[in-house]
Amino acid sequence: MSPFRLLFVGLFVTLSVPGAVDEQSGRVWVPDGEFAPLLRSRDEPEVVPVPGFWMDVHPVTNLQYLAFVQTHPEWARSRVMRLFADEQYLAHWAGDFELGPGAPPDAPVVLVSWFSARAYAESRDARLPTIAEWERTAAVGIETDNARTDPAVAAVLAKWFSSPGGGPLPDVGDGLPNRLALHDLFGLVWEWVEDFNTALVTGESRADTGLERNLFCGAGSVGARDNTDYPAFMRAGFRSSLRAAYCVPNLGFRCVVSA
Amino acid sequence: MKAPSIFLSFLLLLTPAATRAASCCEAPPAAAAAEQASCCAVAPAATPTAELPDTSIYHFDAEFIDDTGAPRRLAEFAGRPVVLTMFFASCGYACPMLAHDMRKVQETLPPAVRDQVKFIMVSFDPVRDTVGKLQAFRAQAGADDRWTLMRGADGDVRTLAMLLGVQFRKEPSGDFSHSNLITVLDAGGAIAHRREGLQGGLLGVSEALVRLATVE
Repeated sequence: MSPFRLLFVGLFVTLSVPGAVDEQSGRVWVPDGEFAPLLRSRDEPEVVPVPGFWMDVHPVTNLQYLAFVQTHPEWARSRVMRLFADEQYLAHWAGDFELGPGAPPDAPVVLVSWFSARAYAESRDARLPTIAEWERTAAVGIETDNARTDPAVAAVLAKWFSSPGGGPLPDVGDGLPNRLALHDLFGLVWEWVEDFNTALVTGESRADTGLERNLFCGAGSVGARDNTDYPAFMRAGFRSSLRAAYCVPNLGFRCVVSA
Repeated sequence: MKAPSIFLSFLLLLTPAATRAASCCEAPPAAAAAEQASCCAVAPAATPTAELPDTSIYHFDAEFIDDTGAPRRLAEFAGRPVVLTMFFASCGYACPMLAHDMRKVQETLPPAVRDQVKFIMVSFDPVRDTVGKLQAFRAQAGADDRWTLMRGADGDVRTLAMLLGVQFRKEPSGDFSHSNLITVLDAGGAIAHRREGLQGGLLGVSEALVRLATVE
């Protein structure tokens, strides 16, 4: 490809991106929108309005997280309290303040707990997105405004769900952004959300904590918004299996700020 | 890390939390324990958090308000076994049953054990569960002075739920869907026993309390 064509493609991509990235904060403005919950309780509306907010353009990287740990050493690997992060916390780093070959600086940080992700967000005067906010952004596709029917999203997800893992994660921002200019919503890591522990609670407070069991069986999909939305089921199932202190090799996070 | 690690994660995540907690009960280095997690407020000097085990939920140092309107911190309950549940006062079915079950546990404990145990109920509902509402719930539940009913800020209630493994969600009606969970904490604030659901299991709660009381 000639340098001229590269320039042309670059220009085209820049101009066609609808979301504006704030260079200083690295966040994108996500305008007012809607969230259609995958699983609804009886009296819950089909769509929930989601007021606009700023969202990190990509997941938090190892380098960014390292800067946080350096200023908040209580979150260093050897010092963190087990209550707030399990024994896998930052296990892929070379040391308390050293990334090493398992954690490239620009790769998303993983093996962090909900508590630690939340502490990072607070240190940036930000917070974790809610399920509604995260799903609202991920409902916007790469080529079209509907991620569920977007072939580009389907291709990224199919590759991710089917390819073997192992080795360090790729850098953030490598793939194409979605039409809100957000990178890595699909196909790089799972992401913590503030209210992940609400994922599979139905409208019934009478049942016991075995609710998840009901939802993991086929009957759980009867009340679902869209039985073919496989990625949304994957995310809901994944979230419901988490506990806040868990540190998982492909679970990172990004921050948001309210308007 | 992609598909196989996803499924590996699923397997790992299905491991009961209890097993995971048991494998990490070693005492923290004093320096680390003295450090406050940034999600916690600064501990009051009276609270010896440095002596608590690493898995103690008493490291979570948020301020709650009890049904007399007094500020309370979880670490104040250190030193004796605790029975802890989360609830909301306008709950028509499950929460009164949880309170009933806690009272049943209290009544059936041997007197020597009963004298040591504290009962705590923390509300999901900072909006509606005012101090007055908590007082009314106390009367309704027939709770004595060994019981503490508390309310807290939204984010703190969520953090406590996360620490206990309670799932909850506010419904459009203003009511809450929630797990029904009775948690027994040991003297150091580590989770010693969990009773999930609304049926049976009370004997297990009592036995855990007897065990913890005798150890003291």
